[in-house]
Amino acid sequence: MQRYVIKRLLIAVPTIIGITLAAFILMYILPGDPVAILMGDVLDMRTMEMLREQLGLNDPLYVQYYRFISNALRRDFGKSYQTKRLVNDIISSALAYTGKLTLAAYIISIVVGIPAGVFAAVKHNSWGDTGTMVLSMLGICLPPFVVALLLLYVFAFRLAWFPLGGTGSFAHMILPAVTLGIRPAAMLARITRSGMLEVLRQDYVRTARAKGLSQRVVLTRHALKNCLIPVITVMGGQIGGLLSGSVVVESIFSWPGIGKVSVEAILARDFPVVQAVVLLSALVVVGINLLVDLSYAFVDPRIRYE
Amino acid sequence: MLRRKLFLVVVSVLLIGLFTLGAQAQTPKYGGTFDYALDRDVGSIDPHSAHSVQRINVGLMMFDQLFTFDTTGQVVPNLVESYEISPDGLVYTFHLRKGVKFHTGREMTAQDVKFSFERLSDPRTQALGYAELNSVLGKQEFSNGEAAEITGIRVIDDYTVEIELVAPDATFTRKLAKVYTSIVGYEGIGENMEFITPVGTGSFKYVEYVPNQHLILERNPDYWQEGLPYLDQVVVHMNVDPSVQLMRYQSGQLLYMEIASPVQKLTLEADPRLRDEIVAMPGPSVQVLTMNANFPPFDKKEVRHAINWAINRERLAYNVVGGMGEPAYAPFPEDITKRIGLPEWYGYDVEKAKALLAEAGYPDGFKTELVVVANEIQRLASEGVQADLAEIGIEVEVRVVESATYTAMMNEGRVPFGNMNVGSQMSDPDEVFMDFLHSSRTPGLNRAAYKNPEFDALVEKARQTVDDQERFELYRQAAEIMMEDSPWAVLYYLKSVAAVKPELKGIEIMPTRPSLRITKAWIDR
Repeated sequence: MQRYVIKRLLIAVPTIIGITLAAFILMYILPGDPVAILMGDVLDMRTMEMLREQLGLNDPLYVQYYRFISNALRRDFGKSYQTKRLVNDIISSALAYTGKLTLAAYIISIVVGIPAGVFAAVKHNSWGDTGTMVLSMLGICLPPFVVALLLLYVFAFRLAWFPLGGTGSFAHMILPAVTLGIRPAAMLARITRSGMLEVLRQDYVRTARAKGLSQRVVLTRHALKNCLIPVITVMGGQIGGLLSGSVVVESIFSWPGIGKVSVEAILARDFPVVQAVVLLSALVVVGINLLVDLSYAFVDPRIRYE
Repeated sequence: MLRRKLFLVVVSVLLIGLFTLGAQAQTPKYGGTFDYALDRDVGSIDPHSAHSVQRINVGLMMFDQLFTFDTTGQVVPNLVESYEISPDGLVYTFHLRKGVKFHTGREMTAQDVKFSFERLSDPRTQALGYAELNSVLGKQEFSNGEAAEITGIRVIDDYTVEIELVAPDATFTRKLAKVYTSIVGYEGIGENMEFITPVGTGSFKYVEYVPNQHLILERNPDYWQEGLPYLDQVVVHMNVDPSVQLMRYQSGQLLYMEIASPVQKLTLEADPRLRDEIVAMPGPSVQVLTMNANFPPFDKKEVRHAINWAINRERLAYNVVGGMGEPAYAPFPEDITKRIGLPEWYGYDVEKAKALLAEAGYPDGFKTELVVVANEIQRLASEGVQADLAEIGIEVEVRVVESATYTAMMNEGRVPFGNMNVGSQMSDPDEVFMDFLHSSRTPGLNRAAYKNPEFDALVEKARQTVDDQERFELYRQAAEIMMEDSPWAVLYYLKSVAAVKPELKGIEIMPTRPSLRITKAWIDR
């Protein structure tokens, strides 16, 4: 197990370096000069030259990349071109908000998605099954911005149950979390349903029933546990999806998370922020994939990492 | 159409009256909070780097400048009580108001003016307004680190400061009205000129800024304008999506909302209760098509003229962009055009356009691409242009590009045919002609790569002509030459459109950047 983890961590190093290098080169290849964007429609050549010099943009690319990597190792990502705030501050504040939202959405997706999938499987070929599947199909198909605007219009504008975007209280989080949680919940419901349908036909389930175990015990202990591998894979993948899917939701709900910060940084070619976000995302995705792989061993005792 | 124009004029006059006189007709009430929603974060609250209209408007709430703009775009003394200009136009003597206090309680003096202007010109500040004082004697030496101070800025006594220029600059007092040239208290500035906290003399004091969320300001009880401001508090809400701003306005959570898209305007117009709350004032920009003569077929003057004659500007302004614009027939924003008194060039004449195209050797038209930035109004306008040009056989493919790419392509002069917003921060013709059309601005903002030595000479001369009547005459001549050369086809003046609840009184909407002042605003509740 330990050896496996170390091996995986070692493989992660070139992956992460590769990703940051690619992002770095890509940002420079993309048309768009961060200084010209900063200046807007007041372009003064002397000011631009002064800013390029001060921001270190006149240095050769490899010098800039070396500076980025060596500073990043000391957890120093410099200052944003646009706001002059420390990138660390920008990212940590945004990450805290996105973390909260993602966690809430994740909980919603699990609490709603898995029971819905189990319900549909148990009520196979009934109206309940069809209804659940139609709803889950809708949840997957509806784009988040439509859901967001719909929820805002009905629950915040018309009914005034929730605030119209922003942060501050628990109530502010509910609509964005629901919006964000709908799609993964729908996917989990479908995956759980198909997994359960397969498992419920297995002999050991029949045996469990024959032993006189209650329906709840049969479903949770015997059936659900055995169909969790694909569900966990999907759940792991969802985190990356939730992080990136939050861009639209954060924009509409004025949620100051990492999605909005990254999009704005990319549009403004705010290199220090973009690079920090890319590095961070790479770390998160690599880390979560590792965790998902390791968790298989806990769910399925047949899997061993030796 | 004449009736429509007349109607618009009457409405504008009534609205201006409403906004400037409304506050006087009733006795203003003290108290209340002004909620100002922005679709993005202000980014930085350092006034010396306030480049976007949002940053500028917010900067104006906390900081004062030596001069300021009124609602017609004229420049008026602000922190300066009176001033003299030497006969050669080189030396400005400013007499400052006495008793103006910073938010820390300290009195502002001439030393603060010198400090603020030197901070602005110090490369360590990385100020976006770094170039504002380029015409001041000794600025370059100071910025290059060759001098410890700007020798042209001399403190005579606590309330008198003298500024000497290298050459006469007709726009100098206007530059001193920009938020870039705000007077900042040294208490808010760090050792390396970095911005730490806002310390200004403005009508509102800084309380709290949570990036990407909100900025809170409170009434400055020591404000130098007796009895002002009326409002207790300002809350700037950041990152509020325009669709959410609309819902907040409709539900009464916002008393004021800037309208940036025709869809928002149409939504409000569709609601009979809100229709009358829409205000459209002359804005600080004009929308144009750039035609770069380095690329055929735009190298032919007849082609450029044909395009100018082919555009139905009234349809474009009133219908295509949903009334967010006013037809433009001169190359400046609306208020400048009126101030200088320019004639109207190029009407709508399809037959004439076709004839010109045939004369240029394109009787059947041609195919071209129109580059436009990803922005709803500009995209709509480009589609309108596409339809107009199809009438004379020019097949236009509209290519919408993301803003950073657009800026790069346009600034490098790689775009034969583009759609551009020409903005003026200080409502002066110099900004438009010097920045957007002078040959020295290629590559750069002269995106049509326009080059005419006669035009250049007139614009250079105008900058050094302090007498406005004489100066405006030079711009009229320059405009005549430029409109004949037609590096642009002007489309429409972009309006500053906002929705204002009837209980919010006394706000001032200006044709400049800043575009909003709330010093005299009050809530009638």
